[in-house]
Amino acid sequence: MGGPDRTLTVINHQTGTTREIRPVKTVQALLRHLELTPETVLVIQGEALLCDDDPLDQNSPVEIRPVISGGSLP
Amino acid sequence: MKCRACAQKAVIRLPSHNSAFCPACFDRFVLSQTARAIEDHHMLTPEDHILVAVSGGKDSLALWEILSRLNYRTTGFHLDLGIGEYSAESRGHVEAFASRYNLPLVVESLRESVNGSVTDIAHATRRPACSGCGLAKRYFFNRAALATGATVLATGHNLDDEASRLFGNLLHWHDEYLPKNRPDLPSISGLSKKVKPLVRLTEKEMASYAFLRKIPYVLKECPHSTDAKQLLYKKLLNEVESASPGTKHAFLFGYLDRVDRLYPMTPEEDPEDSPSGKCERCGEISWTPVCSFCRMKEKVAKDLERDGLAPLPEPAP
Repeated sequence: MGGPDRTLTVINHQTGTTREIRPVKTVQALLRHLELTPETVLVIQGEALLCDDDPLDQNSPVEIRPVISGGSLP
Repeated sequence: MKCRACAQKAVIRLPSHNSAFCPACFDRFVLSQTARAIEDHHMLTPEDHILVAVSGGKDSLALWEILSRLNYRTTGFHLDLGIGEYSAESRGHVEAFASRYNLPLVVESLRESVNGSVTDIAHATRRPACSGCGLAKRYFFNRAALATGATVLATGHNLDDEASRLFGNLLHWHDEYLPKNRPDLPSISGLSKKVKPLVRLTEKEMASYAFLRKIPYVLKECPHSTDAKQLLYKKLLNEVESASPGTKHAFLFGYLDRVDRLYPMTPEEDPEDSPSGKCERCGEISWTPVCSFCRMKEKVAKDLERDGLAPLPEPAP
């Protein structure tokens, strides 16, 4: 784990933003922090697709990719 | 978490199947679910020539790849909607995919055909952009199927698409749409049969499949689809799914188990459901003397002429 100043880089394709957050240990904790449900996104680190209970590598950016698409304006 | 099939490290958890899979076992799961949908709903035969409607998104490109892996004869069809960067990127992914797998592809341009943008269509018809876009897609898909000699048209609609559509139709009691809320629609009066082989697979499963198979696809959403009702229905169904895994599947397939009894498919017996002849303008199969697409095209031309305007640019994604 990183020290008090360490951050985790999160690239969120859903919002089109990249942000630094306080490090979290698992995918589940990250999704809770971002208020996302596992069914709606892929969580990717490096070349790997991660499961909910997988640990996060604190030194590598995490990619959040939305899976929901489609629809029309009301 | 370990794969339930082989105990390797899992990359996807499927609570609705009380399962988790490694990449290799998940790959087998996706192929078997697709094959099962095709078999259960009598979608395809080995002799069929399938026109796959490909938008450049994860579902349609993955469907094209899966059908090819299952050894079906396929041709891709892409309608370039002319919506700025979004369409350019979508078309790029489709063309790159066809080239990578050496698969035949037909591309047509909506903007060139209508001589106006999707925004112009919405303005002229006083309807949401997606309404005109949907009408145009149905027209081009039917036309391309006939032109290529395809016997079946396949689209990449997944379980979430179909469940959210059913949810919306029931919330508003759109009884008239319910008979068509199914993954297999028969061929009528020369128009090809329509199938949705991904109906047993969720959005998450399809996005995971596309990622694991290294299929590049457009991540951007269409700029016209923001704040859509269908996205709300998907969100609500996913909240229920999180609390009660398997509900989306039970909701949709419970309906599909009943649909034949509720709405028996006898399209040829109902003259209102069958096209009456050919469109006077374009010569395509039509329910009315001038088909809906040609009427829409004429409205756009009149609208632009009346306002003395050039076609409108599309909104940025």
